[in-house]
Formats: sequence, structure tokens, C-alpha cells
Amino acid sequence: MTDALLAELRNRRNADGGWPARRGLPSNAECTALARMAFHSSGTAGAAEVDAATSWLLRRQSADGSWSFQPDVPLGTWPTGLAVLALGAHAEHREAVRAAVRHLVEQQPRKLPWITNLLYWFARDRMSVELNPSVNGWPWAQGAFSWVEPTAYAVLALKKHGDLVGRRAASRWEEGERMILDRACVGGGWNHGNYRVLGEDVDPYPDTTAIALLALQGGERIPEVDEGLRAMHGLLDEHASDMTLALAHLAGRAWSVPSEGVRARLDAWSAAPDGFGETRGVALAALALAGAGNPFLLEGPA
Amino acid sequence: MIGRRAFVRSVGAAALAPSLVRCADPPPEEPQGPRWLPEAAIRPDRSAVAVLAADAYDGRLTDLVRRGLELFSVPVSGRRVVLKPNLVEFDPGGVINTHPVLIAATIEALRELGAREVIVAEGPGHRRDNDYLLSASGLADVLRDTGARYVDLNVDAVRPVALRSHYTELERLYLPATVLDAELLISMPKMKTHHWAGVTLSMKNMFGIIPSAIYGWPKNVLHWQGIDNSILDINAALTVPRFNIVDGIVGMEGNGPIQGTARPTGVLVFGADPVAVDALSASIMGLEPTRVTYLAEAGEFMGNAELERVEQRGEDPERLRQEYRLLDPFRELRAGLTSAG
Repeated sequence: MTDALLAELRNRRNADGGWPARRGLPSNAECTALARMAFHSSGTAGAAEVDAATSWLLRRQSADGSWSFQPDVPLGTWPTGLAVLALGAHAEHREAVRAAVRHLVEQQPRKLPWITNLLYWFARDRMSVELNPSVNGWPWAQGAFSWVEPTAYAVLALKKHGDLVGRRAASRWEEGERMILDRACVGGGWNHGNYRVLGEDVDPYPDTTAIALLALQGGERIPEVDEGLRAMHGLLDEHASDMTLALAHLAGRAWSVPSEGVRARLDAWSAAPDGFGETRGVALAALALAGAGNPFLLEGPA
Repeated sequence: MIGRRAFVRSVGAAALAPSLVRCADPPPEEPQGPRWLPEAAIRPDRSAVAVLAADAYDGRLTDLVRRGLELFSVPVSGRRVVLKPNLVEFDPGGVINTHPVLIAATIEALRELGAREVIVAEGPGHRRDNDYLLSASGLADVLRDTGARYVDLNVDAVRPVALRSHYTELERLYLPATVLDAELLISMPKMKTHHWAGVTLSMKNMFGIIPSAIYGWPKNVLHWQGIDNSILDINAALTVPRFNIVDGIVGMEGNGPIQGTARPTGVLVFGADPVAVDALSASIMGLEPTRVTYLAEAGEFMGNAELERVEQRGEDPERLRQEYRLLDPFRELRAGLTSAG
């Protein structure tokens, strides 16, 4: 089922060895990391692409251990967690991954002034945006606040490879988990990270919910997980994209509740795609349909 | 200049309580001179804005949009035109986005006027899933039927652009190549109230060109710089030829730009000066434009925010004027009040 997806991915590779968001764009760290995961999970047939992606990533790692989305732009370091998941802890690039893990452990989001924190402490439910600002996740870009998706990537990366820097990684990903749980939408699921604004509940998104559920793997099946799974599946309407279906399938697998309906939709799409969309979606679909050895799953390869 | 009160309200919005973030910070220093470079001072003596009545999203819009473009002799022939609609989020019962029928009509009108290429481009502020947004909003059907190309500005190639004003603390912005290479950039906002900025129209719509893969969703780095400040710096930085078409056929009032309610208004607003277009649009919404912080400031150098300097074409806006419902913190924007509170 993944042959067409991998062929499409293969055709999208840029001359520099990386992958773009769409054809004609520069390579970026997110798509290159996802492509590496997809080809790695496909077995030996993707060895050349794995090598190309590995080389692209290693050549573009910043001195502080992070990866920027676009290498020539020193902002948007959120793909660092994805690059760690993609490269894994193989001996030949262990030091690069260790540097990235160290960066993630040390990276902090922008924090509020103490007096604002105090106001949140006393009157959280009366603030314009309701949340707990004292638990810190990860930002999309240096100098920004914590948001769900970059936090999820960092949490999962540290869960899998945090041991490269010792025990301090655990307390950091545990705090990231608390931040994700704090941002859960009323009724279940996650959106970009605001569950209530000006007193009104904000709806969850299925793709972000799936990413949050992937980050929470390995823990107990707490009510937030069940509510998230229910919300995610309930949001997969006729407009759900291949990317969202892929993430939902991965999250379902991670929590041992794979949906046959989601799998069938993904299979149908990958067998006869009506024009492939974003590279991210193609790579995630290939990953979701691959067998074992999935870097997004905790039991996947180290 | 942006006052302390408005400044405090504008920072940190969308992430956190905007009226409280940074309240422990020292007051911003009042700059000694203008906060814009001489080359950014492009305000004309007068600006023309046209208001055309339109009561429905239907096939008649192509002729209407063409008429609006022709009123200004917009240079379209042979050009690569980039349409920047508002496509920030989808709510099946809501009126968040620029209506796809209007986008289709604009594509058609531009082609009739000889555009070499029409591209639809947006960097959705909340959702990463473009394919979903396009499909659910109906824009995918428009793209398929018209053959127009769509560019996700959130992940587009970028180039650094030096800022020509300094309301934020940033020195440059990385902006999408699709926008920078446009031979005509048309901002197509929805006429909406905005719970942090007061109103969102042509100028605020430019927030959507900021690439989120670099600045984060929902454009978080810029929210920390202050929404009003960012609106000013983004708009002042753009040097490509611009035009603006505001979708006010059905606007949004109350808790916009996402959770507000529909407000049928029956207008399209056209013009090349985004400040003047937004000022007149705000007036149609029942607001005093110069009480909108970023409009008042933009009116100092970028365009005309004072209605006395706006030459009106088309319908009489007074006849179409409404009173959009405002959230409490923005009641001071209401036209006719004797004090800005």
C-alpha cells in the first residue's frame, strides 16, 4: 500500500538531498525528517533516501543542536524534536542527536512576568486566555510561548532518546506532558493550544489531537486520553485530509485502538490518490501504513 | 503614537491575557521622532475608496468586482496577481473566511482584465491542515473550477525584508517569496470585529502572510511584539503594488475574528490605500476609524485614516452604515461617542 506514497516521496526529493513542503520549494527540516522516517520504516528499499535525508539533516544542524525549519532562517526550531525522532540514537550520529536532546532539555518558552503569573494563580478562570502559565512546554520559535504541537514533538523525542543526557530529560518531558494536559479542550482533544478564550470554549482539531496523543504514549490511559481519542475520531469528517487520517491512525495504533475505518480511508487514498497534497501528508501516510519500526511509536526503533 | 493603554492591550494576545501580559514591564519609551523611515511615508493627500452594494454571494459578483477594479484603473493586464483572502479557520456555522464565491468572482474578473496569472495565497493562522481548510471552506472547489494555484504561505520560500518602520522590536521579517514577487497583491479580508485589535480588515489581513513555520502558529512571535505594532510593521514593509477588496457582504460582529456572529452588511469595499479602505470599512461598521489604534497610527504616514481625506466613489456609505456589536473593551471605538474613553 505504501509503494505509491514512497514513489511520490522519492520524486519530491530536492537536489540537495532534502524534502520540500511542496515541489519547487526549498528543503525543510520537518519534511526531510518525516521522509527519513517513512523510508526507514519501509525497509532496505529506501536506503538511498535514508542516507540522503540523514546527510541533509546532519549538515544543517545548528551549533546549539537545534534544527530550524528552513536552515538559512535562524527561527522556527520546532522541527528539532522531529529530527531527533528521525535520526534515532544510531552510533554514527549519536553525538548530533545528543546535542539536539541537550538543546531540547535546556530550551524554555517565553514566560510571563511574575505579576501576570500571580494573577493567573488567583483568577485563572477570569483571564482572557485560560491556562496554567507555570507549566512550560516548547515554543514554535525561540522567544515564543508554549504550544501543543512543538511540545508534543519534544516530549516524544525526550521520551525515546532523553537517556542520552541522563535523568534530567525525564523531568523536562514530564513538565511538557503536564502542559499538554493543561491545554486539553473542554470535552476532549487539543487545538493549537487555547481551550478557552474570553470565556468561550475553543474547539479541538483532529490532527493536533493525534499529535498530542502520540506524545502521551507510555503513560496511563487517563481520562484525557480516552476523551482525546473520542474527540479525534469524532472530528474525522468527510473533509479530513490524508495527513490528518495518517496522524489519527498513528495515534490509534499508539493507544491500541486502531480504527479500521481510518485505515480503509488511508488505504483507498494511497492506492488511487487524486493528486497528492503536502509532502508532510504523504510521508505521514506512508509512516502510518508501514508495519513495525515506526519512530512515532514508543515501541518503534530507538 | 501608540499609547500605553493600547500597547498593553495589544501584546501577548492569542497566547495570553492581553490586558495583563507585560504589565510588570516598564512603560515603553516614547520615541523622539517618527517610528517610520522616510521611504515608508507614502500617505497621499487624498485616497479614493469605492463602496459597492452586493446582497448575495452569487454569479453577479464577477461583474461587480470587475466594476470595482475598473473604477480605479487597477493595473492588471499581463501581471501576476496574488489574492490574499482571509482563511484562518473553519466553522461550518460561522462566517470566518472570505467567501469562496467572491474569490472565484475575483479570479474571473482579473482574468477578464488580462491578468497573466492569478494565485490564491494564505498562511492560515490557527490550523496547519491546509487541505482540510481548503476542502471544508469550499475554496478547494473554486481552485479546481478556476484552475488557480494555491500557495500555503506558512511554508513558502522566504526572503528577509528590512523593516521600514519600528513599532516592533524586530529588524527584519522573513516574508514569503510568493508575496514579494507579486506584481499586484490584493488583500481580500472579511469585514470583522477582532477581540484583540478592534477590527480586522485589509491591514490586519496581512498578518496571514507571515510564515508560521518560521514564526509559529498562531503567528506567535509577532503576537508577543504586539498585534497593533506588528500590523504596522508588516504593512509598512510591503512595497509591492497593492489593492484591497473587503468582503462585507456578510461580516462578523461581536467576538471576532473566529467566534463572532454573522452580520449581513451587503457591501464590497475597494481601494488601493489599505488605510483608507479600512477606515471607510470601519465607518460602515459603525466605528470611528481614528480610534482604532493601528489605523490612527497608520494614518500618520502610510495612508489616510481620516474620512475627510477619503474620496468616496460608488454607493453612499452612510446609507449602508450599521452598528456592529463590539466587545466591551472596544466600545470606545463606537462612532458618535464624545470621548475615546
